[in-house]
Amino acid sequence: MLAFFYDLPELVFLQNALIASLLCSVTSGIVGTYVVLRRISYIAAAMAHSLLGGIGVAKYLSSAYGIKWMTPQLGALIAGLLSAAVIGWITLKSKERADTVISAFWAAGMSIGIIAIHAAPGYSEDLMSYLFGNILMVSNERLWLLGIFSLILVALTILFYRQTVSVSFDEEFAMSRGVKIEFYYMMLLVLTALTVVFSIEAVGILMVFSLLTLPVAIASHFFNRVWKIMLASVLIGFVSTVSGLVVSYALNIPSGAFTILILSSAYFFLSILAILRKGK
Amino acid sequence: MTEQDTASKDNAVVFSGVTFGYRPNETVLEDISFVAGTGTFTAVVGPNGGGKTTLIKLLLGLEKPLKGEITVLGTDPEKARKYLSYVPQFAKFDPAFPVSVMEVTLMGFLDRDFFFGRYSKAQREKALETLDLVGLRGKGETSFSELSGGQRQRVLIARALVSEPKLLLMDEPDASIDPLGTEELHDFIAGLKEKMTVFLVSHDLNFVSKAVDNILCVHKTLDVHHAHEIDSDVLSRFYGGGNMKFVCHDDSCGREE
Repeated sequence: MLAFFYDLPELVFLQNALIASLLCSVTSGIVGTYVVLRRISYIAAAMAHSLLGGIGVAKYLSSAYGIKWMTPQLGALIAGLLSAAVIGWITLKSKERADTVISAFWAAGMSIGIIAIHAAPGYSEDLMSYLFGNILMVSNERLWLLGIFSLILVALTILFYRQTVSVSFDEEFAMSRGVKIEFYYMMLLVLTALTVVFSIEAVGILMVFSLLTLPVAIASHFFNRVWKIMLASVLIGFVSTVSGLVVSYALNIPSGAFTILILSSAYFFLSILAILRKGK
Repeated sequence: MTEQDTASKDNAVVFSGVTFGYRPNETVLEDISFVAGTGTFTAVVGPNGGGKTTLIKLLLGLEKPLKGEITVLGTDPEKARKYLSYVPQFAKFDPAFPVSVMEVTLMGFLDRDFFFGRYSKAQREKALETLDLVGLRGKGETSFSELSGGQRQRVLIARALVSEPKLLLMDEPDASIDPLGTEELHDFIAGLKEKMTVFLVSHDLNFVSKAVDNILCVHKTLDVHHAHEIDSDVLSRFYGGGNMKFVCHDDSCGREE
């Protein structure tokens, strides 16, 4: 089980994986807190799944037409920002039918992705790593981007803390004070999209949404202030992704899946405990 | 109403011929005209879906009238908004939201001018002072979620008061409050009118009987009553005969004083 720690000083890809775990925990802990408080986890899940469309199209363009700069990561980024813009526009315009449109977006993204990946010439064995993540494959360049994004996110969170908490707590009152609620809503959607895009390696697009919500759900059992939940979620995310990494390295199982298994078990355990306590 | 009436600086709120609808062919409010003087207490009553909350939204400038004109504090509602404060319907809140009483109260200082960093010392002191005023001394660091319904309501009132508004709008403040604190809270709200103009939306007419100067009965159209004029005829016209929710009301409303 300790093989990970013996090999860590020697193997750069393990060090990268460890840093990526930390950074992903920071981004998903912060953004996840707002996603849970504003009850938009369904939107976050739809965004994550629609990334497959971008990844597939990018893969098709690069292998069928030789557009080499169109990497799957770039495709995912474009798809993420596009879905933030479209879903944001829909939810701000029409409050009632939004969930149907979001579901359609979710499914359309995945179907485009699967068709495009199937049609692209050459092997597509890395489809699995997009769906389920492969944190040992994180490149240096990717790590730098993730690091820069984390810094920007932390800065924005500190600068806008009061506004974002107020808007999450009571949108109408914030609006009556002249706070631009659409701006903060769109900012959250864009940051959610970027967080999801940057977490693909860690847990894959099928499970990234759990990395956003489960640490927050666990932290909410213990803390009663937004900033405390945020810090605790980062810590919980980090402990679980590193545990996933260590165990998967020893047993050769997918690390993302194991991370989410740890998180969901902890969540269920705490929820059952809370119900039992209430019963007494 | 004459020209002179509407132009007077003593009028906090003037609606003249206001029509509004969320869709062009379905009007929620039709040809609404009324004047509320500075320092008066106006109760807005009417059945659910009659347009009470819409009226408040128009006052705040969150919605624009299709026809007619609204003047608030001598200017248009959007410009007046920084002198307004709003206590929203209480039932809509996520009771588990992780904030402290102090944090909620301080939200009252937010405004459109972007500012960052911490709240100033003066703002914190003002917030504590206001919490005292609404009877929540020493509760600043308590979690909002741990409070009773009535106490949460007071926090929202404190949040609305910290910015020292000239016009206070309250949407159904009595909707889910605990019965014990109700009387006290009513007296408190009645006392506010010395400092500001108060608009209160309610479907509990008993509540409004005490210190109210005007009663606006909103049911798509509007009837304005001075408090002493209200009788069961008026009520049954708006709420529909024997189907009244607030059975405790009778002709003596408003004459008690």
